[in-house]
Amino acid sequence: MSERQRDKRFNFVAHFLLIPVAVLTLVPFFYLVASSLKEKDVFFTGQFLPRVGLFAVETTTGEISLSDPTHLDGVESADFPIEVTRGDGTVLDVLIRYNPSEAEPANAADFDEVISVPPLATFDDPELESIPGLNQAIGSARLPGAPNTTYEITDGNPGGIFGVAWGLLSLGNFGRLFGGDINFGRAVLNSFFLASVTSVFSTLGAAMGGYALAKHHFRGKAFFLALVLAALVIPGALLLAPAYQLLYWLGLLDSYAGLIIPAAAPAFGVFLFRQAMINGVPNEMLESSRIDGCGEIRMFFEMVLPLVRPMVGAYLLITFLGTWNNFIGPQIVLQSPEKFPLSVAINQLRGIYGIDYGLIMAGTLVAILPVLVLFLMLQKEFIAGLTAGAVKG
Amino acid sequence: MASKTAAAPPQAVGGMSKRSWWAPYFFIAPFILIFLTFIVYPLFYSLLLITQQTFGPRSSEFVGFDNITFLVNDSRFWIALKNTFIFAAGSVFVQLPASLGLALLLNRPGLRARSFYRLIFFAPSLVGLVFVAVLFALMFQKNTGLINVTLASIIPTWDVEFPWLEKFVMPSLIIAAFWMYVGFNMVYFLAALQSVDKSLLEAAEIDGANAWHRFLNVTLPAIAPVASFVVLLSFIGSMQLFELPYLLLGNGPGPENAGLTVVMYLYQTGFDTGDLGYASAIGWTLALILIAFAIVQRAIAKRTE
Repeated sequence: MSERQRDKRFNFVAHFLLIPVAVLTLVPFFYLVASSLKEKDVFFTGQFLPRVGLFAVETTTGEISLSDPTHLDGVESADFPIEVTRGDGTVLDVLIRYNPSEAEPANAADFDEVISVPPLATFDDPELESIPGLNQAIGSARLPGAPNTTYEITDGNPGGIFGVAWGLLSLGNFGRLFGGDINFGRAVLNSFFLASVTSVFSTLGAAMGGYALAKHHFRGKAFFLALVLAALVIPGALLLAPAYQLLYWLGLLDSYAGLIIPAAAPAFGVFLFRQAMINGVPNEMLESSRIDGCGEIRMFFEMVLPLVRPMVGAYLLITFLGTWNNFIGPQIVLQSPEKFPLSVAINQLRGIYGIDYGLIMAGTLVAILPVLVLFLMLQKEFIAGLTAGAVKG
Repeated sequence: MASKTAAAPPQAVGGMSKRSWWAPYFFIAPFILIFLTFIVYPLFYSLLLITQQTFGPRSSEFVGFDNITFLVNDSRFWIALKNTFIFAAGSVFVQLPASLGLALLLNRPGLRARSFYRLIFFAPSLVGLVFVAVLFALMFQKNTGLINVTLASIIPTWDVEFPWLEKFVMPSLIIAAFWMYVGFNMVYFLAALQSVDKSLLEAAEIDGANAWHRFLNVTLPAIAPVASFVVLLSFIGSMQLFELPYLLLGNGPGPENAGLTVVMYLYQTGFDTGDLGYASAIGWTLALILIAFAIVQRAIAKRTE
């Protein structure tokens, strides 16, 4: 078999394996976006994207049925006065009686209390067929259990292209997230502030420490280097309790300083910068600029840092990402809700609003979108930073 | 591991007169200060805490070795440790081989859309654990969760009420972690595969070794140092599992402690109950396990070198 044929066969097999994995990897992202576009009422009615409302009208027979009876758990029996508007604007009054005790609870179809709506013509009528909007929501209903919630009535055939009622998708969750009493925007700003300040301080501290260990001779250097390596093995969880106590004594609880100061100059960063500077910064250059009378601090900022600029960029990014996604630190240190970053605010959304999944998914999307966009713009730096520690070994 | 590489090259001689003696101390100072304050001090303080029972950060009481004897007899701790090990095993034995497999497929230079695949597989690791937990909590829901709905559409008899997060807590966590980290570890393996000597592979091929034998005898030994490092990282990370189960199960350990992990237990005793002393005892047990594992890993790595 020739080289070319073999390459072709390999490509075929590889894509055959990789495409399903890629699709599966993307499914949660797609689900996240789709879910964030569903209003609370619509959430339980469709699976992946909304298909139909709680009630559905079968277009050929004009029958109205309950499409998802799980919403009515605990309701003994009820009459639903439903206002159905025909596509041409004519209002038809309809009453649906729902009584779970009479129904066989085997499957959803058995719950359907079906009534017929005589004035609604069948689709045989070309005039009705041409009315725009008939194919989407054609009415609304209120349930006794949830008087403030309106359920859309759509025709029985799932809506538009690909069988999805696109009209039921909405940006309402994002509106509720940023308007009203939740103030998610504040959390977004908090996260940006915390992640940027932490990553700048952390990068500066790590670069300084790495520079000293890579390019200077001083008493105790070997000991400090050993300390850096030992610090890499200590599990962060062990330090949680005593560090909490320490922050309490220092009066740094419920302050950003209590999060930013401990994160400045981390051992891992010092180690990475040391590795980058050993070969990346030529000694001759440092020596000659010393002879020319350049100050140590000026030299660090004007020569050393620019020489390891890729490392600086990569490290800024991974610290930003790490801080952005950090949950346990802010959860322990911060106490005032107005200081919470996104990671903690998301969890709060869940507590207060029960299972308002659409809202939570919208919040999650807002939280991960900036990071994904940042990654798409700067992938090379990201991957360089993440693998810098491991690959050289 | 990278720690052994590159001892500092000899400094250039001459020009020493202008060098300021304080410069290295100035540059290392932030690291030393923060290291002493926020790592060394808490570390020693946590040893002291083991002998105490605390009630929040304000008051404490000397209890001697009570915390340790209590820990040994604490069935919840052992459940937490068992759960944590199951999760770590899932990461090391399921996720890492999958990562390596993906890396091997993507390592071929002639493969089309390589960087596109890499991008897709890597993207989940950018999503924080908190957000992964929130997302998967919804996917594992009863009735409307994506996983139940999908299974129901494939298998007509599937029960959409199937409670994943009650019956299969650990497998659910392993699935979520798999989605999140498989691409992350793939990047490590890809980087390692690029350092494999191509002439050795070609030589083996000319000698008639098939793909499997080439992988076993050439590729695997070449990537072994990175692989063992990734195993260590993955194990250490898995043993510190907290956010994923804590948030996936709704701020708790799930039914019958099925999702309780060591760090979650530490968090609950330290911050919900306010007993920092017992939390320290749990933390040190975890630390000793991790240190022991790191020592074993280094010993094995040295032997295979």
